[in-house]
Amino acid sequence: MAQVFPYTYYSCPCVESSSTKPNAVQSAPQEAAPFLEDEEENTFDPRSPRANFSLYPIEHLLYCTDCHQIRCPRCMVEEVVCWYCPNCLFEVPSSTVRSDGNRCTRNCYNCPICTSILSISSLEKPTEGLTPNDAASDAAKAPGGPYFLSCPFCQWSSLEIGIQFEKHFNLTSQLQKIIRGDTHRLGSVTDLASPRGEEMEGEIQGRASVASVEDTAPLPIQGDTETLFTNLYNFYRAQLSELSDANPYSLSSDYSFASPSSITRLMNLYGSGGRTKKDRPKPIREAAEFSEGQKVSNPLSEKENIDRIRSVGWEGTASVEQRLQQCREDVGFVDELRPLATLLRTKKSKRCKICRQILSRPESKVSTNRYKIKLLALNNIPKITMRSLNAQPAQHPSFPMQATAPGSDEASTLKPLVPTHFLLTITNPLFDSIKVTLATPSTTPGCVKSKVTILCPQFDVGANTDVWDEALSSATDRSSKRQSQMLSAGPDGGSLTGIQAEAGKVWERGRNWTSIVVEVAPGSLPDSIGHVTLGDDAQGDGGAALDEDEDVLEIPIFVRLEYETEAGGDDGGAAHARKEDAGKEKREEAFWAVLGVGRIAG
Amino acid sequence: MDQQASQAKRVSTSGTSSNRASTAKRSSTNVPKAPTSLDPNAIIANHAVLTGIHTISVAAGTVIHPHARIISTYSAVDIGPGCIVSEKAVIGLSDLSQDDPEGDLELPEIIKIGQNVNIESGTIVEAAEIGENTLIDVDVKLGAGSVIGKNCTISACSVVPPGETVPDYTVIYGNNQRRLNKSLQSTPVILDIKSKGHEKQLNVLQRLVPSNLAKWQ
Repeated sequence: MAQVFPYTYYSCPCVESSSTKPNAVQSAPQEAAPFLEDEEENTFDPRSPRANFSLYPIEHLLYCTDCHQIRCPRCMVEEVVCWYCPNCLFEVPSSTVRSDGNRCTRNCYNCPICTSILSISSLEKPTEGLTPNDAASDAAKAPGGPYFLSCPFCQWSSLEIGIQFEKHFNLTSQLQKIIRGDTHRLGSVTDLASPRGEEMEGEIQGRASVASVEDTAPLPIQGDTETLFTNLYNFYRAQLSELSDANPYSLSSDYSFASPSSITRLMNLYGSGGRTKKDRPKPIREAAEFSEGQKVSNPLSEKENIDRIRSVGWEGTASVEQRLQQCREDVGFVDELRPLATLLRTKKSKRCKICRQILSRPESKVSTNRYKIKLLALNNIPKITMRSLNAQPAQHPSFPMQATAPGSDEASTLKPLVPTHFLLTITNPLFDSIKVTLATPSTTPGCVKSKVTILCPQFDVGANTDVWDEALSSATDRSSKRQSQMLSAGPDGGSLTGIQAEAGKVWERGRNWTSIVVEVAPGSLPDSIGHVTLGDDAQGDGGAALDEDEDVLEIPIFVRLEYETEAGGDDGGAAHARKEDAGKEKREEAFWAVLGVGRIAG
Repeated sequence: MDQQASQAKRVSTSGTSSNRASTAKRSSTNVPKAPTSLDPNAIIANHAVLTGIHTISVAAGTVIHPHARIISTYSAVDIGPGCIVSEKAVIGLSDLSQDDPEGDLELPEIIKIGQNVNIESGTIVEAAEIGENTLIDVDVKLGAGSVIGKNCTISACSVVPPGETVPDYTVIYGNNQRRLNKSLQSTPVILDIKSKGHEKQLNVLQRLVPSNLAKWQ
């Protein structure tokens, strides 16, 4: 995996709970306290297969302000805020989506060849000559005549499949009419919405008689799918309704508890069992004839298809992607492809799975990309960054986040057994100063044991106050002094850090960030790393075999925060935030993070 | 040498203006100004670049934008009537060693661009021929000696390899996929509509781009 060192991944607490319990709503705040004690015993292993699913960069995480915990994409539930067409940006009510499907019913179509948006053009012959006021006169009158859909990218047009439109609006109904007229359709998809009744039955009967005529034809006519679908839909609906009459256990579209079928079902479940097993419902059978939506494969049509492939060649055959995009199954050739109504898109809001609090909610207006609610982890959890102390760039103290040049191999390759110093910077996004306690296992988990020492595991980080406060005050004096000290100490970074990195002392401090030094002595790789080949299976007993990325030095680090904040309106975190004063309350939070430092050189 | 003499003759007989090819060379550019045969109705912007040793001929109605480059170092260039050459487009074989390290490619003696061809910006044209009404979109590269047919559309960023022949009505799109533009082939009205649009575009450009023909004659 091509990773850019150094990186920081945050572990979502969902790694602890194997599944989200339905009754977790009440127990959520209490969970946090035992969580801490648990953690001190069993440390987090970034290499465990399970950890894989809970490690995210901080940018991907949200933060639940009720549970006071990080929320990863696994512990959110999504809700559709609105459906809209990406082309015309019209919002589609969800009831329409349910009845008409998730495609734009206005004039938006995609090219069946290359999927770009089709435009409506006029086929009217242009007037001859070019008069000076030509443009003005053109703008005055809209082009008339027949219209067609054309692709501005691959130059496909609906003329290739012989489709022209009389009007430049309401294309969907026109197209449906054309397709139906083309194939002598009797029914259409819109019939699905109409309630099933006697006349429907009659229609199906009528259709069946037509079908028997069609069956004698050597090749099923094009566009057959829609009738087939209607027939099959009606057939299964009829079967299900029969079934639900007979059997209360059956699937029915009515799930509400008040529905008669549900009540009879419940009565049966909890009743005295007076009703013994009566007549078993007859099983759902498959469609058996055309009126029921059965489709018989036609060997003749197969032969026709083969002959057709021979004549039209590769260019005339639709690709797999093109065929999959069509909603019909029997499309095999380019000249059978129809323009595709644009698929609708959604805006989604996200909720915490445990307390149902909304974590992010976009504005429901389609054309804005702003959010009403967006609880980012970035704004609630300190940001942890790491960089090598040796390769310290000459940087402005106001930009502590500036990392070493990413991808520089020297910086991310670690020499085994040589202690190296890294600068760990914690930036506080909160408006209260925090007390940070860091903890890490003394040796990293995994087969390459590296020693990690945090020289200053307990320190304070200032509040995220106004930027101008710092700019106007002399807060940068200290850090600039440090810089000048370093410069005077000489260019050799290694010896310099040996002098300066003192245990228990903060390396550098800024307005809302604090840097400390972490000493890492990378473990030595087993000797055989270079010699392990694919055929070499015998190394397993020696334990010398390294898995993929086993030489990457990842430090699990436990971060615990303590801070005092204004007692807000939310009392969700009351259990682990005991009240101090009337206005202040003490809070603590804790989470695991993983620092990817670099690759140990072999 | 013989060819050059004939070019010189062509230039002098074009009779549009006096031939001052050698004297007008600016000291800042060490490439020679090309001998040209320009129609008086052509529009060539002041900042266009026409360099080389072979003749560059531009027909009536053609618009050459500022910073378009036409290079006739290795072959003559003949641009037909009603063409648009956008800025940063390069027409002509610029460096022979790039495309053809072995030197076994047959290079065109003349680059011929047909009527109403639209060459968009950033395009590199080394093709031997481009047929009429063809659209060459942004940042396309037409390899040395390739032949593009009539009424083609080469979409943005496509690459036509050297020496390839692209038949008439071909559309090159996407990841070098090709298809035949059947609607254009079968419906002549669309061609009329398209050429009308091209005409309008030319009309606008002719008003917008200030011409400095005298600089290149």
